[in-house]
Amino acid sequence: MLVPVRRDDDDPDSRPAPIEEALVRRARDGDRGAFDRLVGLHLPRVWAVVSRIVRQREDAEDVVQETFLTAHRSLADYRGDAAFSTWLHRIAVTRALNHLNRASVRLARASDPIDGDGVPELADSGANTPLRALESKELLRRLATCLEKLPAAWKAVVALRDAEELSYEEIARVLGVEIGTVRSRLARARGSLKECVEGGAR
Amino acid sequence: MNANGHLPIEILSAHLDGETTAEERARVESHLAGCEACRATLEDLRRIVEGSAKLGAPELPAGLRERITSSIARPAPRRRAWIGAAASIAAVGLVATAWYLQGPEAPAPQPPPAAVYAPSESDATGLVDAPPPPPPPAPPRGQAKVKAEAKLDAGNVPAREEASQRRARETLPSDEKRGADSGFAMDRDARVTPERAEAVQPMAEVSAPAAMAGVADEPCGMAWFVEVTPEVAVDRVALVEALKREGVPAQATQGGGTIEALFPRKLWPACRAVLAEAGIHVDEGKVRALSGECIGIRVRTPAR
Repeated sequence: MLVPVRRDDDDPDSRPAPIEEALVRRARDGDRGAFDRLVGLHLPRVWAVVSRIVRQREDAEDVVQETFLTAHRSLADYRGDAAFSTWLHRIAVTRALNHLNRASVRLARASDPIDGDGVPELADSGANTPLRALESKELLRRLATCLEKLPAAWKAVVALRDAEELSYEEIARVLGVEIGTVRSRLARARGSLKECVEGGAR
Repeated sequence: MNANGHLPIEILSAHLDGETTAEERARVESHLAGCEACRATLEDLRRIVEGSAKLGAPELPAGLRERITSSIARPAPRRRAWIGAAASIAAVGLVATAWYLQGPEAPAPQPPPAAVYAPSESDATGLVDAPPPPPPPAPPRGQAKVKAEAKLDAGNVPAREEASQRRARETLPSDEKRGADSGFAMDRDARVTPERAEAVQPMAEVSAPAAMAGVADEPCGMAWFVEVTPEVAVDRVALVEALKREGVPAQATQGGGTIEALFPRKLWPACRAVLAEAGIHVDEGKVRALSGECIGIRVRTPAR
C-alpha cells in the first residue's frame, strides 16, 4: 500500500527551502552559478517527468532545456508562494504537453472518455485476473507499451504521481486543475492501463 | 458503488494513493472485507502503479546539464534585435500613439506610453522608463470607445531569436549515447513533425490603449496594452474562460485570433498565473512600465 503524501500550504515542504530560496534570489540577481546549482538540484526530477511524457529522447532533452531556459527568464515571476519544484514542474509539464500538442498528437481533455462516458467500469473479474497471472517482467513490458499509448494529459498525471510521488494537491497545482480532475484522470489512466495490459498490450 | 455493486475504480485508485476521505476509506475497507472481486481489482491496480513507478525514467543524458548551463550563459541575441527594431518602433510610436475618444469632449491625444523601446545599452530588457504621463482620464461609463486605435505594431519587427537559438543548439555536439537508450521510442520516422520546440518565451510588445467592449461594468475602460505572441498553440476558449474565472475580463477578438484582457492592475498576478499555465509568459518589466491603473494584455494566438 502506498503511503499518502499529504501536503498543504502550512507544510514547510510546499514552500521553498531557505537554501533554495537564497539560490533563487541570487539567480534572479543574475548569478549564473546559483542558477546552475538549481539546475543540478532539479534536473533529475524534471527529466524524470518530461521523459515520461515526451518519449523521443532528443525531444525530451529539448523540452527539459527549454524548461530551464524559460525558468531562468521567468525567475521574476516566481513569487515563492509555492515550492520552486512545483513551479518548475509546471513549466516542464506545460512545455512537454505543448510539444506533443504541436506535434499534432491529440491531447485528451479531462472529459475524454476511454470508451463511452465517464470512468470505465471494470468487469467483475473475480479473484483470478489475467493481470495477476502475468510475470513481473512481462507485466513491465506490456505496461511500457501501454503507457506510450496514453493520452498526453494522462501521461503527465501518471508521471507526476508514479515517478514523482506528488500528492494529488501538488499535481493539481502543477497542472492548474482541480484535485478532483487529478483523481479522475489518474483513475482513468490506470483503468486504461489495466485493460491494455490485460489485453496483451496490443 | 458502480452498476455492478462494486467500488468505482476512481475510489480504488485514490485509496491506493491514500487520497480518499475518511468516509471513503471506511467504505472501501468495509466493502473490501466482503468482496473478493474488488480486492482483486485493487491488487491489479496496485501492480499497475508499482510497475509504472518501477519503469522509471530513462537515464539522465550525459551532458544535458552542461547544455542547459551553456545555453543560459550564451548571450541572448534578442537585445541586438530589439535595438534595431526599437528605433523604428520608437519613431513610429511618437507619431502614432495618438488615440481618440469619441465625441467632441474627447481629451487631447495622450503622450507616448511610459515605456518605449529604445536602443539603450544599459537596459537589459530593451525598455527604458520615461517619466510617467498622467493616466488617461477614465471616460464616462458607456462612452469609452476607441474610434481609431493607433497601435505600435511591432508584431513583425523584432527579429526572433528562436531561430538562431535553435541553430545554435543544433550545432552542439550530439550526445553519443543518444539513441542507444532503450527507454525511448526511437522510431525517428514516427516523429510527427520535424518542428523543434522554441526555446524562448514569447516576446511582449506594447501597443496603444484600447477600450474593451462588453466590460462596461468593469472599472477599466481603457489601458495600454502589452502584446504577446506566444509560440505555443493556445486553447483560446479555455484561456478566456480561465481568465474570467480569475475575475479578469477577457474576450476573443478579431475573429477569435486575439485575446484581449483589460483589468485593474491588482489583478495582474492572477492574469499572469493563468497565462503562465497556458505557457504564455509576459515580460514583467513591460507590464510594470505601463502607466495607469489598468493593464491590457493582448495575446495574438497562433493558429492551432
